[in-house]
Amino acid sequence: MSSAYALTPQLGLTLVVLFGAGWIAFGYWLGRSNRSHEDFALAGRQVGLALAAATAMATWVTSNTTLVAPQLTYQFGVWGMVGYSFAALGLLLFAPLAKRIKQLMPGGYTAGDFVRSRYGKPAWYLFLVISAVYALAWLVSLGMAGGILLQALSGLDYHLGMTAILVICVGYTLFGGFKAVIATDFVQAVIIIIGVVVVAGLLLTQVSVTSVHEQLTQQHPQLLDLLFPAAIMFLFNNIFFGLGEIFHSNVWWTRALSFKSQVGAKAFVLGGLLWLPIPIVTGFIALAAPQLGIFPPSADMVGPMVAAAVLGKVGAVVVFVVVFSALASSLDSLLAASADLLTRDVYQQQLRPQANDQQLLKVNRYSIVALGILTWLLCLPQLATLGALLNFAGAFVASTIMPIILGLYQPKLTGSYATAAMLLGTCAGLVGYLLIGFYVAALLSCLISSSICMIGVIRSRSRFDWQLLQQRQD
Amino acid sequence: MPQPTTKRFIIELFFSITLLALLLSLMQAGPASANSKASLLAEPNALELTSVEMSKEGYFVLRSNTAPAATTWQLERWSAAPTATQLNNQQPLTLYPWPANTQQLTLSGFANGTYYFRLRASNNNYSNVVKVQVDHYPLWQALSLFSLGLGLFVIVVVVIAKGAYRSANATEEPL
Repeated sequence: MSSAYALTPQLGLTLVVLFGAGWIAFGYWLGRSNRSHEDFALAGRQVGLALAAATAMATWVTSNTTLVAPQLTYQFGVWGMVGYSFAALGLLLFAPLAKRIKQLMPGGYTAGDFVRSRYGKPAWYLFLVISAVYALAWLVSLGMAGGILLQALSGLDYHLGMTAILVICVGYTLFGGFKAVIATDFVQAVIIIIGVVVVAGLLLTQVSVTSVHEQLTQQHPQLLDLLFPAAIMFLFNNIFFGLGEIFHSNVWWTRALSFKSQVGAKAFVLGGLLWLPIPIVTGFIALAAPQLGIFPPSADMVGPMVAAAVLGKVGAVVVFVVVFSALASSLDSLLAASADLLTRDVYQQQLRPQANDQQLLKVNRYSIVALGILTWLLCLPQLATLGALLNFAGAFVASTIMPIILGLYQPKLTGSYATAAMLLGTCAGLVGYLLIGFYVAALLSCLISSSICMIGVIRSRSRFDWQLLQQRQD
Repeated sequence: MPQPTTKRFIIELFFSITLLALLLSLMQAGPASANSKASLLAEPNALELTSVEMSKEGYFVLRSNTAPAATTWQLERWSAAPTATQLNNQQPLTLYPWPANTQQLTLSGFANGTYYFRLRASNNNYSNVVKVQVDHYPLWQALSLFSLGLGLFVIVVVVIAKGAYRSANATEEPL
């Protein structure tokens, strides 16, 4: 067994226990000053630029960046690597939206608040379904990634790693709330940047760019071909998937609402620029795989396998810490944001409008635990691959891009057109996903949704009064 | 404003579409047994290699019915459908080390063409030979989607830029 894995099971388990105990203790320490639901859910709306930029960057560095970016580079070559880094456009383009969100709804809590106030209840119901599909797909993919990572590096059972990352993230989010999420994101962002630079630097001492290029030219020429058809098709689909993920998700709306005024736009631009080079570095790791004689069982394992093989036990520990940090920084954010959505949009809006602050705080905590348990149950059977799970959600989220943008800036788009755009856009994306492939789902979804929104704006006779947004929040 | 029954119908319809699509996608990404098997030279031994017959992306997964305990197995790539004599007397084009403790290996970056693979276990036990046809999408299809995506992306950026500019200048003119 020892020859097959970079770490022994004992070392893998020790790292998990140390890592978990550290984060949970940190979360407990941070959460001591939480007094109200607003403290717990939005860190008192007083997050400054450094923490804001770090949480934006760290949350966007996830299993996608550390496992799927090398996977897509292994599958689509140079375009996979460069195209994946274009997902930074999601953060950069969200910067002006974050400013507008804070301007329109300074007292708002969730993305659902906005959709309900702006478009009415039918659009809101549909939006909640889309958010639920996406949140569950992302949560399950993150839980699965934890299990796959630990299995790939140490041979520990998939279920153990999956359970460990869920228990750790539920633990510190439960104790510390959004403050813990943001503070751990800051530490995790520093770990990720240093770790990725160390792995790439050490890799370049083992293999040269010239030798990698020669090997790929001879044995895997398509990976260097700039006219690689499937990779060209994938490029804009990936961009729209990223835009849809960020624009609709409460993960990013809670950040926009929790940052201090004038900080949101700068934080998202800074976070996007910090994020941009990371997929290039993790992608290069995958391009070096054939030169090193490494051919992974599944494409999403290529990053950890190359790092562990080239850098030995130290490299495997670095990879473990970096990827586990990346997974945790996204999982905690998603748990907190989804629990906010359940508390605010389901419990308070649908079940108990008169709930007081302490009841909301309690329900928020119960929601985090319930989401953790649901994710654990869905992760147990390991039904699909990471890529299949995430790309399935692309058909859903891309349908929300134009309704969100126009909802923030264009008073003429009505709720019925926004609802039709999200419904028909998602259906078109699913048809593309099933009949053509994952690399067209988000593109088709956004195309149909945008067309319906444009028709809605042209045909509309009414104008939305922006003051209503503030009044409905109050 | 739609009636409650209409709203319920929309949500139920949406849930049904979601569940159906998820089921279909899981079936598409199903286990090895769901993939078609191309066996050219079926040897009467226990080691069996399978793969998809066609790849439109230049990457594919090869699966074995058993896994090695260490990295001692090798996957052979052949230029043409080899005869039994060639398999015994000639060297393959390329050898890929098969990862330990796994029943599959993923290869990528192949140009259009036909590729033949055979798995060699450490004890000189060989699998059957499988054929994989790589046939990339036509470039015009890819460039059409690229152009569509680029056009849509430009529209998204322009709508955000105009909206941000007008909200910064506190005007309420439509975009």
